[in-house]
Order: sequence, then structure tokens, then C-alpha cells
Amino acid sequence: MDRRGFSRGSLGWREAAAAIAAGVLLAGLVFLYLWLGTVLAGLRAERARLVLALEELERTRLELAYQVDRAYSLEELALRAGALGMVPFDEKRTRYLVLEGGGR
Amino acid sequence: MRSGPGTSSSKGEAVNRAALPFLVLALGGLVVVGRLVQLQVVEHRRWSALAQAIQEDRIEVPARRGTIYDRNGVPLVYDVPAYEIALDNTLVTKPELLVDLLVKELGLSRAEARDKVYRQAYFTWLARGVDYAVGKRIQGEAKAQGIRGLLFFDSWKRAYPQGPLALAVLGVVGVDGHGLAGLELLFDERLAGRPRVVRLLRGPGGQVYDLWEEDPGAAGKDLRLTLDHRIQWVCEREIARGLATYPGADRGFALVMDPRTGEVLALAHGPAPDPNKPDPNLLIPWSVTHVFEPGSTFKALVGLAALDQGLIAPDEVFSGDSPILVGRTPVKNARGKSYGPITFRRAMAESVNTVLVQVAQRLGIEKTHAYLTRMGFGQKTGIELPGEVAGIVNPKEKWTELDLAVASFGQGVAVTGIQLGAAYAAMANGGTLLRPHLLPGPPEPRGRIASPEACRTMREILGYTVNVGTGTPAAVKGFNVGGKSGTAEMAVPGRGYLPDHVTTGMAAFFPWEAPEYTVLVIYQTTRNPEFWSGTTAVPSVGQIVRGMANLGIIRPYEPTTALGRSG
Repeated sequence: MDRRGFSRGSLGWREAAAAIAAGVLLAGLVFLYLWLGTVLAGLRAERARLVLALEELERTRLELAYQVDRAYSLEELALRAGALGMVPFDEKRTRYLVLEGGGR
Repeated sequence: MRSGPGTSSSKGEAVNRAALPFLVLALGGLVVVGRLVQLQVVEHRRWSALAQAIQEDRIEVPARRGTIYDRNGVPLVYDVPAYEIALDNTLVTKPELLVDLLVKELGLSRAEARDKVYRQAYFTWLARGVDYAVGKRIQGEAKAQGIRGLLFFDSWKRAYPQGPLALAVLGVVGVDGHGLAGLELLFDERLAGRPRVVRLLRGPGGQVYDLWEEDPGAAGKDLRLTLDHRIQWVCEREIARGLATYPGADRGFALVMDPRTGEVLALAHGPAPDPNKPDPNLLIPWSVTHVFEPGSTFKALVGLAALDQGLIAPDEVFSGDSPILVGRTPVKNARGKSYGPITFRRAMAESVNTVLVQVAQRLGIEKTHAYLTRMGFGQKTGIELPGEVAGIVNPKEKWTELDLAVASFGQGVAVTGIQLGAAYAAMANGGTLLRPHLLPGPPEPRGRIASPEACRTMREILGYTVNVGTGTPAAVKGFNVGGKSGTAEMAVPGRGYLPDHVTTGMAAFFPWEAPEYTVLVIYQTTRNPEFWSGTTAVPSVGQIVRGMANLGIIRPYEPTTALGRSG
């Protein structure tokens, strides 16, 4: 009778221990899930921020590219060359030789 | 007696004691689970939509419009970032500071800025197409001064890295991002693209938690033209110089073509519009959309027809006396000058009307009309520009002997600049009329206008015209320019020909032996009776050739030094 009772009692503790272990495991998994979810959300937010920053950088790059193109336009170059005292060639003061083989 | 641990009665009590809270917890859990099922499954759609409305922004980012390049890959127009700025009037803080900011940065008048800021509305547009740098400055200053209520939308605006180059050809784009004129209008669908749709997940403070593309959109497709930005710049500069220098000059255009392919290398119209505030009248490529009487530039084409028919020879002698009677109508030379006996070559060089009348009379109405039709007059060329007109060549049944006579020196017919340029290009390439085009592609022949021999003879005569005749201001040493000038009074509906309404022109090519370029320059005045091609269009052709040489686009075809040929 005692023997049977003891065996029933030890089985109850094992069940309790197993339930606690399962609970801890479940809690761990839930914690892991929530933690990873939080990390993932953080990464997504960081990614979104970087994407937006990249797009802003691209817009800045396009604006700067325009300013460079504008500065190198013939109109601007002519203005700057004129300011430096350069003038277009005068054919009265320019002589050409036509070389054999098509070179000039 | 108390039962010891492990006994069945104590276990039973423990189970009983645990059963109640367990039951309560289970029921509570069940309620929670039930509520979750209700919220997340049954009412999922409703709550999801509500959350989405609160947390998500759907943003439509306009597509970047395609770039238009010249033949060398140099961009002529592209989209640069810009802002559209609006105001949520209900959220505005520090309105007076905002008014100051708008006056300073957007150039609004104080009254205008106050009207917008103090308006009773949820949404007010402040400005669209605001420069990127200006938008950034406004954003920064508003933040620094604690001004709230401004809304910034990313957008694009057209920018012209080469300045207002070829603007009448390129056209412009409206605030809605669609083409309004020129190539921007004609190729709007291709250039426009499709907007990109982005969703943002936002936190309560507006911070972005996530971002994903609902529709990646598509950027507009690029367009490459046959224009050469360097030649275009040379032509625009020269037209601008001409309009500033030649007394009474109202408008002008210059066309440069490759006669071997029909490619338009430059098509410059003046006065040039301001790309930021374009005057719609200046955006019309009138070399294609308007007609004019070509005047004496037409003589070379009538002469070419006669040469092709073998009806004349370059050194054949004609009477250059003036006037000559056609029926009962006297037809005179310019300024009434008589030249006596004169060869056809010399008559071309001196632009003698009466000789060309005799040439046309030999050809007759039938053949002259047929040649003009073959040369493309009275028909659209098919160039890729909106609004092209066909010109006016009356049906041959309606032609009289007088019509034939005056047509020989370019009156009584109306042509477009592009038609005249294409006809000269055909003479330059040996007789094949090609469709002039602005988009790259293989040459598109439209027919033959004359034999290669006749074309070469006429080119040689026009080389002579530039060397010793009326075209000398177009001569540039070493480049062997050939061409023909013309001055024609303009007919005004209801008033006839007016002496102070004049079109002057010069159609040329070089080197005349085997032309690589054709150049056409036209000016018009409505206020100067002393407006002549010899002092306007002809020197402009010379300046364009010089300009092309200056930029290294062309090099002389003949030595220009006394040392002669070197080897």
C-alpha cells in the first residue's frame, strides 16, 4: 500500500517537474519569439530609415550632378573663358596645313 | 488525525484546492482567447484597416521623367529633385515668422504670403517645383524657428544643364509633369514613366518603423537626339548675336543638317525663351510650323531642275536686262539693276531675277511644278516635331506664266525652313531627298530630286557664288562654303507685300565638293525696309562655320597657308 502510495507520489512530482520544465521552455520560446520580433522590428525600422536616407542622398547627388553639368556647360565655359581674356580664333591669324593622309 | 503527505486524502484536497483557481484561470484564458479570436479573426478586416489608417502612410512618389540627350550623350534636359510645399493651416504655429520665411525664400509678396498663411483651410498650396536647395533651407529654418504646419512633398522638376539650348525643339513640361510643347509633348508617354507607390509604417511620433513598395513604378525612358549640343550652341549664339546686332531683326533660326543622313545636328530659334518662365510664343519651332517665301535661295533649286533637264549650261549667256516682261507685267531685278549679257553662273552669283525667269520659262509650268513637288515642297517632311505644316505650292492647274516667273526667285510659294534645308541637303548629297530627323536612325530616302551630275554642277556654281558673288560674307577660308542667299518681302493678309516686312536667308553647305554639312539661316523683320540677306543671314552662316571650327568640330578642307600642301 505504502509502496504503491509512494510510487503514485513520486509520479506526481515528476509530472509537476515536467510541467514546470515545459512551462519554462514555453516561456523561453515565447521570450525568444518576442525578443527576436523586437530585434526584427528594430532592424526593419533601421532599414526603413536607411532606405529613406539613401533616397535623400540620391536626390542630393542628382542636385549636385546638375550643378556640375551646369558649371561645365558651353555657356558657362564661354563666360569663364571670356572673363580670363580668351577670344575665339581669328582665321586671319590662323594657318592650316593639310597633311597627306588626311591629317590637318 | 491529520493525513500525512502522500496520502490520498491530502492529495484529493490539494486537487480540490487547485481546481477552482485553475478553472477561473482557464475560463479567463478562454475569454481572452475568445476575445483575441473575435478581434483578430472575426473582426480582423475592420481593425486591420483602422490600424493601417492610423499607422500607415501611402505615398505616391512621382516617376523621374526620362532624360533627353544629344548625339554625344550630353544631357540637354533631365529631372532634378524639387519640392512641392503646402500648408495645413489648422496646425500652423508662429504664423508671422512663417510669413517672413515665405517672403524671403519663395519670393512671395507679404500680402500674398499672409493670404495663404491665414486662410481658413486644411490644405493650401504654397509653391510647386521649388528648388531642392530652397526646399531644404525652408525645412531647416522652419524647424529651427519652431514653425509647424508645413507639408513637404518630394517631386521633380525639369532642369537644363546646357541652359536654354534647343528649348523650342525640346519643349517644356507643365506642373502636372506632362509635356506641353516640342519633343516633351510628342514623346510624353515614353518620357513620363509610372509613379512608385510606397507604404510607410509610422509610430506615434511620426518615426518610420517599416517601409515597403506597393508598386515599384517605372522611371521614364530616355531619348537620344541627333542634335549636337556644340553645333546647337554655336547656332543659338549666332542667332542671338544677329538679333542683337542686325537693326530691326525680330526673329531668326539656324538649321544644320548632315546631308548624307538627314540628321538634324542643330535647330536653333531666337529669341531664346527663359527656361524658368518660358514665353509660349518663343517655344514654337517656327522653322517647322510657319511658312515664308524663300526668295532667291529658291533660284538654286529652279536652276538645279533646269540643269537636270539639260536645258541650260553653267556658262550659257542670258540677258540680264531689267525689267523683263511676263505677259504685260514687268519683272525686275533687285534695285532695278540691269546686267546686260551674263552667264548663268554669274547670274547666280549676282542673283539676277530676270535670268532665272528665263530659265523657268524654259522648264515650263509642268516641269517646274513637278520638280518643286519632288523636292518636298507643299508636303510635310515628317520631322519629329508637333505642328509641322506642309507649306504652300498651288496646284499646277492654277499656275499662270507670272506664277512660274516669280516662283523662279522664290515668290508665290511658301516653304518651311525644314523643307528648304532638306531640299538643299538633297542637292548636297547628290540628289536624294531624305526625311530630316531628330531621332537617330538609318537615312530614309523620299525620292530623287536630280542627277548627281546636275547637283555637283549646281554646288560648284554656289561655291563660286560664295567666293565671288552675293554670298562672300559666308566664305571662311579653307572650308569651301557654297550657298545662295535670298531676301523676300513678306505678304501680310489684306495689305499685300510690305517693304519693311522682310525675310532674309542663306542656304549653304560645305565643303561644296562633297558636303558634310548644310546650313540654313533665316531672319525676319517687321520694321526695317533696309533688311538684306547680305548683311544678316549670309554673315551669320560664316559665323556658324567659324564657331564650329572654333570648337574643333570641323577642320579646314583646304590649306590656308601660303606654304601650301605639306607632306
